[in-house]
Amino acid sequence: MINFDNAATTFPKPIAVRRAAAEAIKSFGGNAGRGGHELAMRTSEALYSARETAAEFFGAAPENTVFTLNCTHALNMAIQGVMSQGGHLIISSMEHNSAARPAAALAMKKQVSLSVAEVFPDSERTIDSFRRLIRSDTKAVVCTLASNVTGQLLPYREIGQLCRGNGICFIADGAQACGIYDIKLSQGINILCTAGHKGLYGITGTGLLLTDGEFPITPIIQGGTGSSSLSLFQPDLLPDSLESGTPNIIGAVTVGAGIGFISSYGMGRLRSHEERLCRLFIEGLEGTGGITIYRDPAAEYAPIVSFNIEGFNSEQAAELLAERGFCLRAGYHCAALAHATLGTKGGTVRFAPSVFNTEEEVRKLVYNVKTLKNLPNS
Amino acid sequence: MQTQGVILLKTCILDMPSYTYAVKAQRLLRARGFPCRIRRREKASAEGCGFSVHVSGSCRSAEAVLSGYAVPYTVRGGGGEDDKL
Repeated sequence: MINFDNAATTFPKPIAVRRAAAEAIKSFGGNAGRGGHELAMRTSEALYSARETAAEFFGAAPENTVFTLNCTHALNMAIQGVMSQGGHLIISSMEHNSAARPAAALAMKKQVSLSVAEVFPDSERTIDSFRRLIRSDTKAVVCTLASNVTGQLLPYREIGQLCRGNGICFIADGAQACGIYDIKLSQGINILCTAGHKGLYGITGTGLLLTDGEFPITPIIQGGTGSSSLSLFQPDLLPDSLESGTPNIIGAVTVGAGIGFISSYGMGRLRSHEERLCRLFIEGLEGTGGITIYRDPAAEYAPIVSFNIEGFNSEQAAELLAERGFCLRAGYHCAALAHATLGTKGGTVRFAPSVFNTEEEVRKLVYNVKTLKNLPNS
Repeated sequence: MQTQGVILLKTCILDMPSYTYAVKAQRLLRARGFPCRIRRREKASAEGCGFSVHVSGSCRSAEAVLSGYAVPYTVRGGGGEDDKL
């Protein structure tokens, strides 16, 4: 089995991450920040170390680094938390449902007014889309850093600048960019939401919300935090205000180990490898008739390639490739807006390598895609 | 202060609003040479249970470190004899 579905979740995980998970299960079995005994204190230290590692990686303060269940959880907290008093919200037309659905839900309840900024291959046109939608009551902009469908990189620095100039909160979805690009809050991002189990190589059930603290986030979940226990009200200090209930401590430890892996391997080296695999895949299919690759020369892309094979819908193609031992995600990738923007019919097949894939594996995939074209229904 | 060969060190107790801030304070202080440890508060405050940082040294010196990093805390005072740092 060869996994090219790493944009959904990376697999395999680095040995350091697997070891960290085993060590966490063995040694960090207390509840962090809740007790004073040795087991609780040891566990609390481990959680803080993971928090500090993540904070440093993204240029945030440890206390402004919140562990979540996944990127969707982080985005829901950020969007609902920042827009709790209403106002105008702008999202991009390449958003994953993790951002689009909470935004749409707020709009359906008439809690916010919602605008969708169209994304183009050309960055200037995309920035202009956002600029033209800004109103006096615009409170937040939500934008993915890289599309989960095509990998298209959005001009997030410029969008961040635009937001800063207008006193607007910039919420960034870093699910497909974090761990591959050097993303920092100082790049104009007020709140960064990301998954822990994708490019950061942690286990599933992990995510992060990092904030520069400029815009208050009203909690959407209340509960035990280990602090201010006699008060019936949620503490307003981060991270406690956004971390009710026992966190996924083992998961957080693996995210810390995953970031450690990226740092020691080298993010540039990792990205070059994945980009090389994408180029190899695209070049291998060049000249093969009936293959559509969803890339535009005017745009820049993270290491993800969406494609279709003439004569097959995306699900059929992925199923046939799965029968040959390849794991690729087909369909709409939980991103209705992005597919509407791209104008795909029946979704796409997504090739998403990780640092652990090899050129040989890509060549095998290219060969199998080409042979699919010779099947009777092609 | 030295009394009959026993060195009595000053201990400062800082009540922290959360465990996260307690570790942050501990790491900042240790990095600057202040022996310290996190302990569960012996008695709950008006807000409830929590954690304190017990620092070897004067509160003034510890506060000087923490104030530079926007770490919130409340000075509770000196520690007891069982304060093994």
